Amino acid sequence: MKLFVNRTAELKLIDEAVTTLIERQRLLRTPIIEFYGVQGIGKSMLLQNIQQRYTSKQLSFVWADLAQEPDAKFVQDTRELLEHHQPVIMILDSLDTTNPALLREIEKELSALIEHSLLFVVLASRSEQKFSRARSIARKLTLHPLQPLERASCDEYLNAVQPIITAQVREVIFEWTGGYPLAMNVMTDAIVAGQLNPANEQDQQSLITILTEKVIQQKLLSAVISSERERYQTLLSLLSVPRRFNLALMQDLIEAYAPSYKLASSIAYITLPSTFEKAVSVLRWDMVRSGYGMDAPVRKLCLLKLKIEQPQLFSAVHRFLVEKNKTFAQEVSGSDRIHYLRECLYHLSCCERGDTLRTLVTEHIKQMVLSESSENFLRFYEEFRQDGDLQDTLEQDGTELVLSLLLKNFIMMYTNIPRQLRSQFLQEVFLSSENDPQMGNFSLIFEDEMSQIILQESSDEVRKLYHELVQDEVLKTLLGQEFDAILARIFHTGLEEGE
Amino acid sequence: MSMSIEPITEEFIGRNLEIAFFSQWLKDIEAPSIIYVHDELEELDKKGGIGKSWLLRKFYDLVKERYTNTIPVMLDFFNVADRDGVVVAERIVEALQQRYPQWEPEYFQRMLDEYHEVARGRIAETANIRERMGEALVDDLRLLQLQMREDNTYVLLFFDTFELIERNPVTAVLRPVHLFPDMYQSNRIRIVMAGRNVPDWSHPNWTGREREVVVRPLPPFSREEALQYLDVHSYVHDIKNLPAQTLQGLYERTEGRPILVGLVTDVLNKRIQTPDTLTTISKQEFEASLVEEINEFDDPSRWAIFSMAHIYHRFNADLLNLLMNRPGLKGLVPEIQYQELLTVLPMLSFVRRSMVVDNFVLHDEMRRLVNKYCWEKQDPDKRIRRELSELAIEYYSQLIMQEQQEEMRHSYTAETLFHQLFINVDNGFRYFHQHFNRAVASSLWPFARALFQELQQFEQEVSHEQHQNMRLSEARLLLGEIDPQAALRICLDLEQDREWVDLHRSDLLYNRSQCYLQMNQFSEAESCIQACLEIESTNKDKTRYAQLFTALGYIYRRRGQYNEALYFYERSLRIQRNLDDELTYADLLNNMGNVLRYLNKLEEALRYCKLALRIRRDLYMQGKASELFVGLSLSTLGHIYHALDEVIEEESAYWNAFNIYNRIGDKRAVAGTYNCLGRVRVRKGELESALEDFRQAYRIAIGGINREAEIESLNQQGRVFVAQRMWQESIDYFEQVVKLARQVSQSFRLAENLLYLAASLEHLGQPSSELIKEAKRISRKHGYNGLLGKAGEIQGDMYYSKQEYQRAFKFYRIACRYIALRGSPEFERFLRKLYDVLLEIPTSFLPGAVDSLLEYWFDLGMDKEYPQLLNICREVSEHMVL
Repeated sequence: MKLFVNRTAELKLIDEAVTTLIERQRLLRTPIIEFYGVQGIGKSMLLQNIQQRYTSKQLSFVWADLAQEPDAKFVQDTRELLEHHQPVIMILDSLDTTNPALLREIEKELSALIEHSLLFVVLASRSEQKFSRARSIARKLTLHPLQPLERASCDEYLNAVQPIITAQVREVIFEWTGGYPLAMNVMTDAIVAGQLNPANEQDQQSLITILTEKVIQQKLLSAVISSERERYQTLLSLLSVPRRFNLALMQDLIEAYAPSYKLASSIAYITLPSTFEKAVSVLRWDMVRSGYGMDAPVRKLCLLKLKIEQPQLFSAVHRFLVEKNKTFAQEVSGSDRIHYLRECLYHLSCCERGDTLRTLVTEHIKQMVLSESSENFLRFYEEFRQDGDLQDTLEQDGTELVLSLLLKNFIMMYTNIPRQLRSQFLQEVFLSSENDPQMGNFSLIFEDEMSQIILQESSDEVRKLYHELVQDEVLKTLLGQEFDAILARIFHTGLEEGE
Repeated sequence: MSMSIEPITEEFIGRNLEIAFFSQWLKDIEAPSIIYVHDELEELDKKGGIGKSWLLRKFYDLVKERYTNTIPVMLDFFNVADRDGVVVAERIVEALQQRYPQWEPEYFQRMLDEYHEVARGRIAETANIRERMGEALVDDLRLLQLQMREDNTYVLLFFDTFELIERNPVTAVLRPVHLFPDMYQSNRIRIVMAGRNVPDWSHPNWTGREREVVVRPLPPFSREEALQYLDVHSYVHDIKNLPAQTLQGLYERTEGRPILVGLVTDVLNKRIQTPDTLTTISKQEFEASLVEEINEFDDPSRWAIFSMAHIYHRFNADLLNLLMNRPGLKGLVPEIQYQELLTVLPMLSFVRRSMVVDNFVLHDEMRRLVNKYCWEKQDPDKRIRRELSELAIEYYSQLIMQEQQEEMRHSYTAETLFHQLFINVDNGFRYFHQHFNRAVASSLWPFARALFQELQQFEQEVSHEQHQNMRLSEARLLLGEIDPQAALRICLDLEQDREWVDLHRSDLLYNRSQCYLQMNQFSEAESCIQACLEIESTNKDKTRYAQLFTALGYIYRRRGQYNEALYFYERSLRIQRNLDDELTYADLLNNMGNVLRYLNKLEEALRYCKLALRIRRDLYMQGKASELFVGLSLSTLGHIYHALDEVIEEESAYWNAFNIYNRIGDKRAVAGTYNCLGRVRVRKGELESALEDFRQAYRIAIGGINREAEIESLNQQGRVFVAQRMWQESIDYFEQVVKLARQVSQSFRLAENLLYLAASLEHLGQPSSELIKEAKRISRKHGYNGLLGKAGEIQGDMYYSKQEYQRAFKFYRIACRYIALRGSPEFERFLRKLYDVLLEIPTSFLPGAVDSLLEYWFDLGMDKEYPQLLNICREVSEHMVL
C-alpha cells in the first residue's frame, strides 16, 4: 500500500529548485534541501516521488541510501555526471545513519561539489543535520521538517488505499495516529487484515500490540541496540505522559516509575534528552510549551498504549504529575508558574472524570484566585483559551466549567486590584473574551457578578465605573443587543442611591 | 549528531567614534587621566551586554599593536581576585618589570612578602600594612619615573566591571585614604574604566572629581553596526539580502544591544530560528525567548553553557574534566567533542575569556539571563545546580590546597562561599562567618568584602536572624574600610529590631563603640563600651572584655584623663594575662608606658615600655610579629626620655626607631619620627634644624600618607615661630592646620590649633574670642579636658595682658582645674606659672585673686585631691598679703 498524498509545500520547494536548475539562468536559491522527521513520517516516500517526478526531464540522478551503502561512492558518480555539464540531482537518504567519520567525509566532498551550479542536493534525515562545521554547506542548506498528515490528506489517503474502511473507523485511525503515515499504514493494514474493530476493547488491545511492534519496536527503535530497546521503550512510554517536562520532572518520573533506569546523579539527566534524541529523534525542546516534548504523533501512540495496556499506571502517572506540577509551581514565578498550573489542570483532566473532576477543577481555580496576581490570572486565562489540547481533554463540559469559573473569579478579583488598574483589567478581560465562542453565558455571569461588585462600592465609584463601561466598545460587542438593558439593570440601584 | 558550537570571528564591529576618541585621548597628555565608560541605557534591566568589555578589549589590543610607549594592564572586577588592591598593584609591577627588567621594586616586594605572611596568618596583622605597601610602590615608582619620562612611557590600566565595586572602591586601592583609581602619585599612569552606571558624583570616592574624569556613555549598536555585526558573523543567512522590514524587526527587537545581537547571530547560525520567525516574537518577549533558545543548542555545548551560568566565577578545562567524569556523565561525551568544546566555548559571543589565565566565563548579563530563562525552567527546585555546586566545591578545595598565592586562595574561598550558600544557606552562612571573621581579624578587607558580596546574592533567602547578622558584618566591614558613618547608620538601624538586639546587644554595642571611636566621639563611644562591659562581664570568653577596657583606656588617654586611662589599661592587662596573646599584651604594656609618661611617672613608664619592647623584640625574632612593633616601642621610649629630659637617650631611641621604619619602608612612621627628631632639636635650641625636620616630616606625610604627622608637622612649625615670636608666620601655619583638621574631621587637632591660633592672633591684637569659643565647644563635646585647661590659660593670659586681673584669674582657676585632672608634669608647670603671675600682679589685686582661686577650689571640692594650689595660695598670702 503506497500512495503519495499531500506534501504540496515540499514539492513546491523542489519544483522551484528544479526549474532553476533546468533553466540554468540563475543560481539555485536552495541548492541543498534537507527533509527531516521521525522514522515513518514519509521522507523516503518523498524522495522517491521526487525522482519519479523529474525522471522525464533530462536530469541526471544520483541516489544513495546511506543506511544501505555506508560509503561516499556517490560522490564520484556525481562528479562524473557534473563533468558532462548536465544538471544533476543528488538524493541522499538516511543521512542520520552515517557514522561521524563518514559524515565528515560527506561534509568535505559536498563542500567542494556544491560549488557546482548544476548540482541540486536533496537530503533526508531523522534528525536535523546542520553541517555547522562546514560553513559552505551550512550557508546553502535549507532545513525542512516533515509533518504528519492533516485530517483531509488522511481521508484522501485512506479512501484511496482502503475504500472499504468506514468514516467512523477512519476517524479512529486519525485519532490514534495523529496523521503519522507509518502508524496509519500499520493500523489500516491490521484492521483490514485482521478484521479488527477499533471500537471493540479486545481489538483495541490487538491493534495497540501491532502498532507497538511495527511502529515503535521495528521502526522508531530500529537504531537502538537490542539491549537498550526495553529501556527506551519504557522511557518513551513514561515520557509521553507529560505534554511538557524539564530535567527535574524527567528525573522524578523515571525515579518513581522506572527506577531501574534512573541515572547516577541529577546532573546526569542533562544529557538524557540529547541521548534520547540521537537514538529515537522524537524528543525536542518545545518553545511554545517551554519544555521538552515528544513528537505529537509518537506521543499520542505511546500514551494510547499506556492507557489501554496499563490504565492504572496511566492514571497514577497523571496523578503524580498533578502533584509535581503543583510543587514546581510554588518554586517559580511568572510564565513558568502559569505553565505548571496549566499542566496541573491537564493532568487532572486526564486522570479524573465526572463530579470528582469538577470538584478538583473548581478547587484548583479557587486556589489560583487566592494565590495568583491578577496578571498571572489573566495570563492563565489567555493560555487556557489557546490550549486546544487541554480543552479537548477537558471536553466541552469541563472547558465550560473552567471558563465560567475563571470569568467569575475575574470579576471577584476586580475588587482586589488597585483602583488605577481596574479599567485596564476590565479591558483585558473583555478583550480576551471577545472572540471566545464558548462565552455564551457571559451576559449572565457579567450581570450577576457586576451587580455584586457595585454593592461594595461607593456611589462615586459606581458612577465612574458606569461611565467607563458604557464607553467600552468590546463590552458592547460582548453583550450585544442587551448591552443597554444589562448596564441599566446593574447600575440602576447604585446610581439611584447615589443621586 | 555533530557538535555545533560555532566560533565567532574576532572581527570587531563599529564603535568608530569611541575608537577615534580613545586614540585622540592617548595622544593628549593634558587630557584628564581617567576615561569612564558606562551604559547609555538607563533602564536597569537593559544595562549590561552593551559591549563595554569588547570595547575595552579593543582599546587594549589597539594599545598593544600601535602604542608601544604605553603598557596596557587589564583588570576585571568580575574576577574576585582583581578586586583586591594588592592584586592591582602586583599587576602594575609585573607589567612594568616586563618593560623595565632592571627596575627592582624593592620596597614594594618587601612589603608584599610581609603582607603575605600576614595573610597566611603566620604573623599578626601589622598596622596599616596595605597603606605601607602603597607607599612603598609610590617610592619604587618614583625611581622609575625619570626613565619613564625619558622614554615617554605610560602605564594604561583598564578596569572592567566597575559596577561590582562601585559602592566600595576602597577594596581596589592599597591606601584607604586614597581614592580609586590610585595612580600612586605617578603622572605616568592613566586609566580606562568601564561600569554599568554613571559615576556617582555624590559618592565620597568621586566627590569634586568631575574634572579628573572623561565620562563616555556607550550607546547600543546603531542600526548599521547591528546589521554589520549580523552580516559578519552570520554564515547561514545572507543578512544583506534580507528584506528591510525583517532587518528593521531584528534591530528593533534587539534594540541594538550587542549581547542580544550576538545571541540572535548564534540562534540564526544554529538554525534554531529564522530571521522571519524571530521578528514574529513580540518585543516584550524577545529577550526571554531568545535566551530560552539555548535549550535547543546541541549537547555538550548546551550543558556546558548551563554549567557556566551556575559555576559562574570561572570555568576551564579542569572543571570541565571534573564535570565530565561525574557519575552518570562519564563517557557520554566523546573525547573529540570535549576538545572541540574547549576550543569553541570561549569563542561564543556571550563567553568572556580571561586575559590572564585559561579561564572562561559567561558574560555576567548572560549568566543572569540563562539562570532566569533556562535554569529556572529546567531545574525549578535547584537540585541539578546544587550538584554542580558540590562539584565546584570539590574543584575549589583542590585549588585552595594547591594555590600558593594568597590572593587567589581568597578568591577561591569567596567563590566557594557562593556554592556553599547555594547548597545550603545555613551551612553557607557558617562558612561565611568562619572566613569573614578570619579576614577581619587579619584586616584583609578586600577578602572580607569579596565574601560579603557573595553572601549578598542570597539576601532574599537568609532568615531574618541571618539577615541582621549579615548587616552587622557589613558594619564591621565598613569600619575596616574606614567608613564609620555608614557603619554607624547600619548599627543604629539594627537597634530598632528589639528582638534581635536582645540576643546581640554586646556585638552591636561593641561595633557602635568602634564607629564612635573612629569618629573621635568619645562620650558616645564610652557609653556603648560601658553598656557592653556589663554584658561581657559574665561571658566566659574574656577577649572582648579585655578589648573594652583597652578601648576605655584609649578614650581616657585621648581625653587627657591619664589616671583613668591607666586604670582601664591595668584592668585590661589583668584579663589579658590569661588570654595567651603576647602581642596584645605587649601593646597594652606600651600603652601603659605612654600614659605613665603623661602622668609624669616616668621611671615606671620606662619600665613598662622596656618590657613591651622586649616582648615585641622576641616575637619579631620568632617571626610572629612585624619589626614595626619594635619601632613603635622605641618611639614610645623616645617620648619618655623626652619627658625625662634625657636628650641623648631620647634622640638615640628615635633614631633606632627611624632606622627600623626606614628599613621596612613605613613612610607613615618615618614622617612621625621626623617630627619627634624635630622636637629634640627644639629642645636643644636648634630651631632652624628643627624646622628642617618638621618640614621633612611634612613632605613625607602629605598626600594622605600620615595625616596626623602632617598636622603635627604644621603645628610644630607654627610653635617654632611662636618661640621666635614671629606671630604672623605662626598664624599662617596654625591656619593651615585648622583647615586641614576641619577637612579630615580631626576634632581634637582642630580644637587644639584653634587655641594656638587664637593665642598668636591675640599677640597681634586681632580678634580671637570666636576661635576660643569654638575650641571650647568642641572640647566640651568630646571631653578634651587638657584643651579646656589650655583654653582657660590662654583666656587668662589675654585678660592678664590687658591688666584685667580679676577676670584673668577667673579663667586661670578654670585652667587649673582641668590641668590638675591631667596630672603631672602639666599641673606642676601650670602651678609654677600661676605662682609667677600672682607675684607679678599689683599687690592690691592679690587678695581678690587668691580668694577667687580658693573659693573655686573649695567649691569644686578639689582641695583634698589637689592641695598644691592651696599651698601656693597660702604661701603667697602669708608673704605678700599683709
